[in-house]
Amino acid sequence: MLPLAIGLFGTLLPALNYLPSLGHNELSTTAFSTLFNHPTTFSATWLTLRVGWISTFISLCLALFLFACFYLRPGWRWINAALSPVLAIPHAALAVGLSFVIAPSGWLLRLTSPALTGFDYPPNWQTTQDPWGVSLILLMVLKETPFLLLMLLSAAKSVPIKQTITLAQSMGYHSSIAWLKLVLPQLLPPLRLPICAVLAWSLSAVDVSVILGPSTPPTLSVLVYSWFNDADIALRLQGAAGAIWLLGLNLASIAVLFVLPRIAWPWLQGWLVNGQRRGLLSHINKLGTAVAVSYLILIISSLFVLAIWSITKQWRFPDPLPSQWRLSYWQQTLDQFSPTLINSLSLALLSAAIALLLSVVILELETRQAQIAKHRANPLRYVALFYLPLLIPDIAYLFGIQVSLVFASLDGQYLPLLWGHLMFVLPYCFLSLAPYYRRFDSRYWHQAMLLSGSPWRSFFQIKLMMLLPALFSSLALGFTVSMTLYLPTLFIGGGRFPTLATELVALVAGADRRLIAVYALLLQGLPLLMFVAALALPRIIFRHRKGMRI
Amino acid sequence: MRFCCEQFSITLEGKVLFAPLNFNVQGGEQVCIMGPSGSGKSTLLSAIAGTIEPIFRCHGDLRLNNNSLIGQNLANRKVGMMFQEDLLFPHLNVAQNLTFALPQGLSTDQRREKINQALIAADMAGFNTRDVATLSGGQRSRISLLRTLLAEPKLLLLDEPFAKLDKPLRQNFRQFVLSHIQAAQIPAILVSHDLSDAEDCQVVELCIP
Repeated sequence: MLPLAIGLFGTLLPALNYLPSLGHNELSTTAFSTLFNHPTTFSATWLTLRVGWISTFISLCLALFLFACFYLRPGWRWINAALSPVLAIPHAALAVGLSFVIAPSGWLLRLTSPALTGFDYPPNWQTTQDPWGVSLILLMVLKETPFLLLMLLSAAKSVPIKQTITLAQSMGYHSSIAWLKLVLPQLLPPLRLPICAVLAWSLSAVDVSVILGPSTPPTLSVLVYSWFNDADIALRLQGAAGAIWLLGLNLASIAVLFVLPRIAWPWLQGWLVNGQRRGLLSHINKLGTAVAVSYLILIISSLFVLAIWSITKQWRFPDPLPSQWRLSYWQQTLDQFSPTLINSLSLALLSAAIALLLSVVILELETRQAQIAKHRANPLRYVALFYLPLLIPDIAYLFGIQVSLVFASLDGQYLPLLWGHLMFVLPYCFLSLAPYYRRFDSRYWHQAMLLSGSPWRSFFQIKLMMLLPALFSSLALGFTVSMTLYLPTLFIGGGRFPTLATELVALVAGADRRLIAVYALLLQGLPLLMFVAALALPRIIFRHRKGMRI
Repeated sequence: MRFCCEQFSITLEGKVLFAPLNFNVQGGEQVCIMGPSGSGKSTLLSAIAGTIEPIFRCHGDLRLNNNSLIGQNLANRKVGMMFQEDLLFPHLNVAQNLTFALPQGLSTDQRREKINQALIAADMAGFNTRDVATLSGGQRSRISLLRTLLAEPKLLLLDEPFAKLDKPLRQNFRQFVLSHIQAAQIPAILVSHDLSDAEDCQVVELCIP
């Protein structure tokens, strides 16, 4: 938590016009007044709020809708199986893929032209980077819906959904009305923190906004980021003020999210018990399959189009597929950019491994402590703490961390960068491992201790081995998070450590689609490989152990 | 070998779980502790084994061969315990489960020999590489007991080990346990609320004060 505090402080001071290295020594609100006098600040703010709220709202509705449609039906198995791989797709890679599909010269129009549309040339539409942010919202919805579904799934475990629905149906309620009136009010409260995390991300994401978001004006986070990077270093003060402004917007949005249910509750209560058993919504669940299928088609085609582009030599506009193919872009990329690949891999592997180690240590200490004071130790405390970096826009403290690192002459070095990655990887590793670790049956531990008398053997040979599948998937998640980190890598690495994520976003500005596709595929393929390995390895190691299948 | 329980009781936040206990068990004999559910039977066993949670406080003394167990750590107590569930480690096969319990410092041949002997005693020769998840309930119980005994405990604790088995198996397994206790000449403490477990052995009733 310390780096977070240092980072926020390090951003706040320049925002208040205090940055001695640039000769600003007095506290004042000049930076804020220049910020608010800047012509694009307010339009960017309005755009950011709109994109963030709309995408969060749609994602939540979509997640709830799909959950209600499928949870009690056999189709749920498929959705459940698709969740983890979809979550493992780095958002930058998905953004690139999506733009290749929906762009005016994208796959969607290539497949339908000229037969359906009559176009022989790409139309002059703005379907990506559109001024309303529609494509950005679409991407955020694609990315956030599976996350919310996963959170819904864990929330649903403590709610007797099936019994509730059956009971309501016996009173004459239509099942979809029963979902709305009886099940949702139970599911939403535990979903509050994840929704906040989703909202925070949508308000502050930089990389995807660069790829798909509008540019005049850009979203606030992109605007702030461009000020931080401007050749005119005086703009950094304005950037810091902008980052604090974004933080304020973010906190205010989260506050609204907490207050909204309280205000709405008295009205909703009346509706909940008004006895109406059917409504317009009764028939909407028939759309569930259509929504799920189109969602999957969009995701799969986004990934598939990348694969096609990466081996394309020539692909003229209305053709549905390239006319000439070649593999040399792969060769070229791997030859030229192997340092990029090595940076990405080493950062991801090291940070995930360290994060996993720390998570295990923290959880083991927590277990010991819980034994000593069963009633005092409250795991929720830790969870809130670990969520904190996910609830605050990263740009708001990354600049401060960068300033502090420059001050300590530690900028642009590998170890601080690794540590920066760790800051983001650790929460994910911890949050994904914690439920399995806490659920470990302590009687196995006691039995192992009584048999061997050795805490070391009991820990390594029994406890960790029994938790191996969970350890592997936590490692894979940490790896993915590190691979996708864009802003932290740029800020803390001082631009000296190009990774797949940073190079991809840099390339999108103008490079060849084929080269972009190779990068996006690498960025997306490596985490996917890790996830497959995390799933397959325990199955191979324990192939003769029926008791280890989950 | 001999186990003595002297004026022993457990309190939780100042409340006494059961009236102070006094009993002795000789090697090769067993005592059956009976009492209504919630009277602290399993807690008593975990106090003897040393796995009791620190929020409980123990009073009185527990002596194994005249050494007090109170305050000793788990590793030095040399107490074996069989829980209600067999708790076979799901990621290890039968032989590996048994090997985990063997004292360290044995040669590979010695280990193999001991395990093969144990499996023969359980009528399960050749089961070495079997996945524990594929064993029947009775086989799992036998492996679990053998595993506990291979750690060479000086005292055996049994927490309702028969409760999960059906009637014919139960009688069979009870005999199996008894013969092993007698062969190893160690005292055993059995917790149960099944009256038939208490035949031909000393019975101690836990009374809620």
